[in-house]
Amino acid sequence: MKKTVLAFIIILVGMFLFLSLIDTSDYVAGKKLWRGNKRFVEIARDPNVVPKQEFENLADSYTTILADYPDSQFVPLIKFQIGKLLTLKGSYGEARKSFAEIAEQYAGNSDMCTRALLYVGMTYEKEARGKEAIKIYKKIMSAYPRTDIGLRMPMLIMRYYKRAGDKGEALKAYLDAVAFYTKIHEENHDNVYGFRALNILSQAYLNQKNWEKAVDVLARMLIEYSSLKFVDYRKVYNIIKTINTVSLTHLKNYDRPKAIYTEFLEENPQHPIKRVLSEMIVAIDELKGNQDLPEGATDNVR
Amino acid sequence: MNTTRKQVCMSNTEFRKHPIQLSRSAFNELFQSPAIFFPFSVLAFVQLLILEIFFFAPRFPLSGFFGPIINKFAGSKYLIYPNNYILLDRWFNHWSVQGIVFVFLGSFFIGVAILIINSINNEGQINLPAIYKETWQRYVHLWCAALTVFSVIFFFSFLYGLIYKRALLIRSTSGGFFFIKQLVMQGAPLYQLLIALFSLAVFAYIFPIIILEKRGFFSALVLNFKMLWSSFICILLVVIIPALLYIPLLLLKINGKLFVNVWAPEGWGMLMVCLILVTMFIDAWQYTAITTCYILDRESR
Repeated sequence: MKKTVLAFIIILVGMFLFLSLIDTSDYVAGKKLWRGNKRFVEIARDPNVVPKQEFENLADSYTTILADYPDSQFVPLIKFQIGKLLTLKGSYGEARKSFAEIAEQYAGNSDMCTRALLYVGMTYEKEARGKEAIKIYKKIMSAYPRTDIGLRMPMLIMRYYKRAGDKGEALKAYLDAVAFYTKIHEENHDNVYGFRALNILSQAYLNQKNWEKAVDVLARMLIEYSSLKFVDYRKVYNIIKTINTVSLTHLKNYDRPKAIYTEFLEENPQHPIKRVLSEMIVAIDELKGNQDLPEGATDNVR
Repeated sequence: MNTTRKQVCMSNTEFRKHPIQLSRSAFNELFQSPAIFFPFSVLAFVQLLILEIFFFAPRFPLSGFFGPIINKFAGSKYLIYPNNYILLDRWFNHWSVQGIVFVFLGSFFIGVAILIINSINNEGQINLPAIYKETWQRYVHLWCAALTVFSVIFFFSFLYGLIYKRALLIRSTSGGFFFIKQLVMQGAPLYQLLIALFSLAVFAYIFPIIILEKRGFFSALVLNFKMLWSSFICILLVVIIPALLYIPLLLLKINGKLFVNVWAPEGWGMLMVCLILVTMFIDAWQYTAITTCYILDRESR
């Protein structure tokens, strides 16, 4: 029996060691990257109190992973981490160089490229060189409009000017953003970017407290993209919630959401959310009824 | 008669009043006769082997086979460290994996363990080949018994799952309903443990009856309930006392996020290994106590 138990231990330990040693997969690279990223998060908490040597050590770890696993799927991620580390360290020029290299190396990959350019812009912002940052953001906007980051650029520019206190430029950026998203929606009506453009446009209107236009855009999102191809239930409920909140709280208009939901139900009589919208219409009617009653009318009811 | 049993009871009829003493004598017997651990160590080996295979599943060379399976059924993120530990836990503790191990292997080795304990109690020699042969002859009935126990655990776990899903729908963030929600959700591993312990206690004597009295599954089932009628509380306590060892590890498991966020994710793997080894010890203790109870109960009839 003792020999059998010993054999079990030898088999288990032997198998573990053997499989660990022969593993040359991305798993090991991912493990080292995870450890590096953990140290990165600790440094990022307060980079000002971290000794310079820590930055060097972490940068060396990342470089070693790159050298040991040059074909790993994590290579772009590691390069980004090196750039972000340089940004935290305050070496903005070197960070920009690093991000620019990524943008050049992955020119065919729009997601990677836009992300690298975004970080370049952010380093300019950190150096208080806003004009260069805006130039980069506009470059992303024009060259890569059909990417997640490209779509966010007009809002980013608007927020930059707001933070800087430049109301004139902020208003101009807001108008440019409206034109941009309207154009993107017209050109991409049948795909997800059309929906996303409307989504961000509604946020821009809400940001500017332009309630009427916000509700109009939200209505279009609900009706034009009712097929749930790009929109899951959670997004639909968020759209409905926003329409209700804005219409009832800010516009004090009970008929507008009713008209939106009625139009939706007429165009989509078998839609999965028809019951929710029907109940919503009834609830809005009840709310409106309570609002229309003269003061004191319900006293006897109490 | 085995001296530890002599220490436990004045008479065979009084054992029902001394579950703690019974448990303690079973514990002592484990260390006096470590041969009892052997069948449970085989089960622990199989569990550890399965755990190791699942651990290396996302890694070369096993990823050649498991990679597409993980991609299809779980998602590619589980091929990457440290998400593979989440998948490891999910796959290893899946009812199908544990069910197959318990029903096909556990039934056999529990039978072996009972015969070893019986040999020790009769102060006879432990003849493993003869024990294997005898257990193999009763395997079909042992298999049916294990399947019954597992089915009961699965059924109650399913019921708990329904309660859990209902608790998820509670939207209160304070008050009585919130308390109920937290009680149901946070205690999930503990409830699973209680379900397993209760099911084990309800069918405690079925394995000893099949192996020692050489009865078929159905007559063993009937006799199990007849014998348990008068000693169920004793058996339940005898089953619960060893399982208390499991609770600290279970509490660690409930707070599993600590491993990933504070310690290293490898701690999660180490915890799973510890759980297997502790389970081996607990099972050996429980079945020693149950078999002793059964022998005393049989002698009192």
